[in-house]
Amino acid sequence: MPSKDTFTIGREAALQIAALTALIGSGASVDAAFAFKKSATKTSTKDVPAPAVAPTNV
Amino acid sequence: MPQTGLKNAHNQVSASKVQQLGLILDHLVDALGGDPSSTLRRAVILADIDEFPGTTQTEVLERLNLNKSATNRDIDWLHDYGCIMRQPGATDGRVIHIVTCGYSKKNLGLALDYFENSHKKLKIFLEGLIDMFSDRKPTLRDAKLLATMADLGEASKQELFGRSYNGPHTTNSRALDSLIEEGLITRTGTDA
Repeated sequence: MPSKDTFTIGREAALQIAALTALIGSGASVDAAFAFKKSATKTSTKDVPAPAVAPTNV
Repeated sequence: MPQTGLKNAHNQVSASKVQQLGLILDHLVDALGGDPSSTLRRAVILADIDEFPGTTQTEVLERLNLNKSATNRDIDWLHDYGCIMRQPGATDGRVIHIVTCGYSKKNLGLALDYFENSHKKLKIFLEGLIDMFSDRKPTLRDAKLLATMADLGEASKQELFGRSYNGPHTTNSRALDSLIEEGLITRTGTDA
């Protein structure tokens, strides 16, 4: 029987997709595209710091 | 340079931006031998070669600052699938120049139409997509699942796979699981 699970896009991913789509079509300058790349790098999930609170189940 | 087809022009006007993102990925799959398992990085390499016709493998490596052996494998793949041609240099036969060709160049041109034929913008767009993924090398299939999810808002696995690329169910399932693991797609619950 097929799964009935439903899915949605993550909030951060939705924001990044929205920023990427701004590059599509006329009007998006290369400068704006570079600015996007800079900000995308800043907000990358890779840069999210580790939580300050240590795990309690140790 | 390929002509902008009527269908492509229509899509650019009528589809939403997120849907256009999906169409761009479709053109890139077509440019890469119809293989949605191709990595986004491979698409960047193809776009770079197209931007600099007659470039060399070394120049591609320098411009994109990529791992040498992985990039050489991608360039070999592009050659094997007829996406690029290798031509010995006129003055120095040891230098091999590479150019995009045939179906690959044509379909890449259709993707470039969405970026006013700017290779730079297409490459930044692809780099932006790659940056969304944490560790592994994302494929066009991964990106299409994400674009489809963004377009649908909320969907079941069947709806999602139905609008993504054909392939073994297990391949799509593995890709979806990875996207969930990375937090790019979240499970909202069951409607059973």
